[in-house]
Amino acid sequence: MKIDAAPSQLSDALRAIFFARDREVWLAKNCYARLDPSTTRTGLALADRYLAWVSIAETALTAPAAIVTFANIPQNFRTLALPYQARTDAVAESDNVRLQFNGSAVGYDTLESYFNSAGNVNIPGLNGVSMLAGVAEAANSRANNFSPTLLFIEGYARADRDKWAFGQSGVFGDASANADLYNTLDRGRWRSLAAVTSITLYPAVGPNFVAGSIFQLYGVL
Amino acid sequence: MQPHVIVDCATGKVTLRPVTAEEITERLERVAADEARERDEHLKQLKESIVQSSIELEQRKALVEEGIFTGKDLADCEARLEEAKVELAAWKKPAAK
Repeated sequence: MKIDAAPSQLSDALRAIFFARDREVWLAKNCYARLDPSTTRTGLALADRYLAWVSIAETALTAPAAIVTFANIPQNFRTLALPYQARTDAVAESDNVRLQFNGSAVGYDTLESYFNSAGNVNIPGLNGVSMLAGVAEAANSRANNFSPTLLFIEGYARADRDKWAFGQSGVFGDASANADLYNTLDRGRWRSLAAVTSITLYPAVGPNFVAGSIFQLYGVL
Repeated sequence: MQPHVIVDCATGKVTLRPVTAEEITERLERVAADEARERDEHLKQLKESIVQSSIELEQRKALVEEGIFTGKDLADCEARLEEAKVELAAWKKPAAK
């Protein structure tokens, strides 16, 4: 089913009131709805039985950037999903991507798990300045490649618990050897009850994300 | 110096904030220190794990000789020790890419 209409014209069956204007909303069971850019409605979204990702914002870099921040994040979703494809200018075959919430540089616990043909390595980090949010291809990686990462931040708007993030990522470098191919799992926690209102990403080495890197932020209902 | 890209989720507006060289240097130093600390801590834990497993292995060998533990208990301990040694040998590989 495809609907292309203002919220007021959506069918009762959807029972949807959309959060943002000029946004696309994906529903389960291949349902899709796009809002009329002219609407100014704000509010909640969707009936409970639908699982939906609502596009909040995205940026596709047309020039290098040292840091990318999503600011003024709306507080009316259960979870945030942050898919991105990144490459940095670090002189290496891979780089790490670090994350901070609300501009804070204290209280991050991280467990990085790397998997490749040599086995797996788990690296814990306690009470650091940032958390690991995935990996990125870098300057010595095969050209025209941007590592895909999918990051979830559960309960980001709640004020009664620390904030957790879980991400899956991968990097293949220049693919000159089997061991170049990595998958990673990253689990991080911010020791803070504060609701997450901004997310900042930056390369661990970089110092820049290169043009063509894409960062998207979705609210998950 | 490349900018800080700020996407305002409320308005969709993108602004570019200049980033100073000092800011980048400070950021990289902090991240490097953090990641070095994480790896040092991990290495320390691995080494401690190997020491503990070695002690446990010797204790179990004595208990096997006394007939209190079985060969399987010994094999489990040996496997854990070997696993820790393999991880210790491999743990630097991701950072060396």
